[in-house]
Amino acid sequence: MNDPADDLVRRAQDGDAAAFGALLKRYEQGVYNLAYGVLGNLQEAQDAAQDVFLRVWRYLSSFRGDSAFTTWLYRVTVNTCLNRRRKLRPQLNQIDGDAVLAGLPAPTFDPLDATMRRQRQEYLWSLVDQLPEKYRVVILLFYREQLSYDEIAEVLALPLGTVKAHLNRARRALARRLREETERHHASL
Amino acid sequence: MHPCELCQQHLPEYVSDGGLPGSLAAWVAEHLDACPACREYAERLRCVEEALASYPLRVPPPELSAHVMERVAGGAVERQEAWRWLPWDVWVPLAALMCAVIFAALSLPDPGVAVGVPIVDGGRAWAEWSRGIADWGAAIARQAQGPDFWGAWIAASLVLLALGLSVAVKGWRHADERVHRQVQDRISDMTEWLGGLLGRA
Repeated sequence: MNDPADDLVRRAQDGDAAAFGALLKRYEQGVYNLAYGVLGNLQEAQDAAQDVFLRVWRYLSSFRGDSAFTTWLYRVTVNTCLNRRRKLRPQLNQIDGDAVLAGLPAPTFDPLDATMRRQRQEYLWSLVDQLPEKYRVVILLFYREQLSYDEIAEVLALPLGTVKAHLNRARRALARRLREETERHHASL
Repeated sequence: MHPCELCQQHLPEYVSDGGLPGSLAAWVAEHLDACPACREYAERLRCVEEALASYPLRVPPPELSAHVMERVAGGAVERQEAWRWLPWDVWVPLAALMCAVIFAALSLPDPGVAVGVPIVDGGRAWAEWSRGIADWGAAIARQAQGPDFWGAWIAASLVLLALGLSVAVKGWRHADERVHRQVQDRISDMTEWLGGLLGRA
């Protein structure tokens, strides 16, 4: 276990509330965004993140350091959020990911125009927000939390191949949407 | 499969993290040089990659941590004590020892002792039991002179030693500094204890 938060984790395991507070500060943004990635709602994400940290405080002594602390923490986050979502909005589980990918909205500019870099990024971010949760969560863990494929597989309890497939499908869907919009934009000129 | 199809199948990984094996990456690079359509697709994937890498994170509201710390500090959340597993440097030797004992017991010859001798006549039962033990000891001694017995013992010991070492090395490599310190302390305690014992002897 070479996590930089090792010392804080150890102290928090011994009941040091100040060390736990430091851990909370360090990871609250990651947990909050991951919760938002799963739940798609800021208020629910906040409630879920609070729930996650209270669980972490309660069960921290059961963390044995078999994996990195972040892997354990994000695993708790994903499980808590999935349970919460099942209770709150069971219909979300029935969304067809492919249908959502096909129905992503169109921009009003040429997405490949190099001068429109910022707009293109914002457009792509808005597409990511509308991706199904299974793709969004993998994107968050890979790009923002910088977890490896193996760690993401451990956090989400998914096979490694599925993690890579989710990520590649999301990338392809976004690239396809860019091409369609570029073609549409050029046709309209 | 058409070369463009194959190339585009591998492009996300090629563009994002260079996770393709060398020969495949070289083939993709060669194909991109020759194919404008795949080059354009790679360019789009780079745009996606750039956007994903800078995907904005939401800032958590301050009341999130405040609320959590309020409950933690107020003792509103009862902490659960974990069931403590024995450390690996204790259970591995113990397990190896138990295996060795079981293996030894299985490899011993039949003692020929009647199990459950009724203790009606205490003196007679004791005589039968001690005779059985003596017979058993003689059988072990006879068998112990044969090569099979010692061969099995040495093989079993080597297997257990290898197993114990592999688990110990794996445990050591995955353990953090705290465990390393604990093990070093324990070894030093044992050395001191043995030193003291020998000194007294």
